[in-house]
Amino acid sequence: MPVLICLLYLVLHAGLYVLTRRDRPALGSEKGIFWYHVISAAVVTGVFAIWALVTGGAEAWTWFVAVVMLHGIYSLSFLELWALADDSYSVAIMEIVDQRGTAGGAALIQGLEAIGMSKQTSRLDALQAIGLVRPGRDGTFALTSKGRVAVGLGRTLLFLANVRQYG
Amino acid sequence: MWLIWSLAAFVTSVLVHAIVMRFVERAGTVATFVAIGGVSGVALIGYCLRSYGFTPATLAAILTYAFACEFYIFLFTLVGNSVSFGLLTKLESHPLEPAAIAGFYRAEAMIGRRFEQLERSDFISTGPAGLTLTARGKRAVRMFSLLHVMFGRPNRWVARMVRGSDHAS
Repeated sequence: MPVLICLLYLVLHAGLYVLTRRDRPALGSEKGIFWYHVISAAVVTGVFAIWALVTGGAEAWTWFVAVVMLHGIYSLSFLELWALADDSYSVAIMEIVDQRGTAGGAALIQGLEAIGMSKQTSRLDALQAIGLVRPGRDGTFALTSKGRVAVGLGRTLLFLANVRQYG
Repeated sequence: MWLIWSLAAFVTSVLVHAIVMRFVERAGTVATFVAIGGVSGVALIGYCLRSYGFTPATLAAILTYAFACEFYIFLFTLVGNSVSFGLLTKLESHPLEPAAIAGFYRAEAMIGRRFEQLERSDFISTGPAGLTLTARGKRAVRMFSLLHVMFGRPNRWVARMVRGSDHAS
């Protein structure tokens, strides 16, 4: 039963975004949509934790884990699809090829290169903002200790999945 | 106990995937993990149904396993395709000037890699006339058109290119 209640809530949460919230500027950014899901996950976790505490017993806590995992699957899927639709370079290439039919022209490559450069610049700014990269006094950029940990974790993941080319 | 079985199934999927990816050339990383994870998932469902029946424990075990698998796929695809991670690895050995970063990480290489990935995954094909979408690519574009409508957002890079073309003309 708690899983069905959670499922119904998730349908409403997605429906609310599609029907009313998507045109709100606050939800038009990565940060906005991320918080839309974080707040929802916090509310669901809180409500079902209280329910499990009040109900008591191992079964209630098992339901609690099931509900939290269900919300996790929903949010991760939603955010992945949202990010792919909004920002994916590969999707952009396919859509441009689709719009222009057989597209082999220099203009396409030039346009894509411009996208590539702007992605690199915006990402460098973002890496600085979250403290993974810092600018030095001599105008160079270096990794912070947090950045080194991130690279180590990333390399471990790529080693496990045997991904040799990245970026 | 169900949590231990769920996590054991996930770790098994990750390890089997790591081994298979080293032996099967040209295997799609995500597709291979989905196949291996699917088999482990079915085994987990069978075990849980036999041990616990159709109970909250079985449901929680399946959902925990599914979430762990999805999160793992999300993480390795995120890192593997991330421009940011590429930049971080360039900065790992020594600090770089902005010009050197741009030189190391040329946009052409990034485009080349995306074309290679899209071609390998059968989304585009390269012919004498240039690039064309395959049937699979057309289906993907149709699906993303729906998502653009659903989320109320066009792809920002396509929108930028269209704006650029408009300004040029």
